[in-house]
Amino acid sequence: MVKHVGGDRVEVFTFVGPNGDAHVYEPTPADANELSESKILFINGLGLEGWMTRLEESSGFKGAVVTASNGVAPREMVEEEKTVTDPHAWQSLANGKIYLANIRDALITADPEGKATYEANAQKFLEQIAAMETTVKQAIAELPPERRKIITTHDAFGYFGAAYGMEFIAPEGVSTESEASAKDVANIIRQIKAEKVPAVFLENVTDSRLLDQIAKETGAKIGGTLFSDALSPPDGPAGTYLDMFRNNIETMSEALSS
Amino acid sequence: MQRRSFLIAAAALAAIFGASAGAHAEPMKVSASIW
Repeated sequence: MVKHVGGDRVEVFTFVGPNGDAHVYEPTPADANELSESKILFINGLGLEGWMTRLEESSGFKGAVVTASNGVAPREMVEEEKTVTDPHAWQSLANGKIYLANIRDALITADPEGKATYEANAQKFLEQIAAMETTVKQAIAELPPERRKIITTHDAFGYFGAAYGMEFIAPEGVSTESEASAKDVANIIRQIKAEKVPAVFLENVTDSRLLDQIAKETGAKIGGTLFSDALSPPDGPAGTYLDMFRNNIETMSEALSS
Repeated sequence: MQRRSFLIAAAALAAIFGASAGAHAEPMKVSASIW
């Protein structure tokens, strides 16, 4: 997103690369070095990057920290009797527009000479997000309401579900750090059978074994791989923010419509 | 003499525009966790 808005005026270093897991990322000395030379640090916020404070301190970073999710309505849920904030706000395209505006404004503040470029790039991206929003809504509207149910490994699609009317169920919590208990898995197996959930979906950032087991025990089919917390390599099916949505909605539609 | 003045002026312009172009050609370094 930052690269889209910044264009040639910015050089973006991304800590968590393709298929990486931002929940449990372990920064390297090279990350600290890159950060120390940066003018801005863009984070997601909402508790996603627990490892960032230490990285900031060890790098001696003196620039501006910009929280891309500032302004979204956080989704809160109860996990193991504790209220936790779901950090995956980017899974709603409406929130993606908020991220985009925050990124644009931060780049303008740091580099006012580039204002026209950042505004033009952001506007173009905004129009692409709006078009993708229409595509996603149309695709879901075409699915029978009783089939709009999806099992994923960790709870990364709550914002997507709330925005577009899809029910997501996950044995793990909002972070990949937590492991599903035997009781959670048993409950989900019961739920899949009772509600006739048609498909379970793997994620690019999680181990597939748990869902393979659930699929075997319930007879639900493996619907494909969804990209939740990280993109694919650039030449893969979800190399950009918008391609991630395109891949996910196509994968969901294909598995749930038949 | 004329040629020398021209060279000095050209060097001055190159310094001014070179520095300016350099500022734009050098992208601003930023870091991002994922997006």
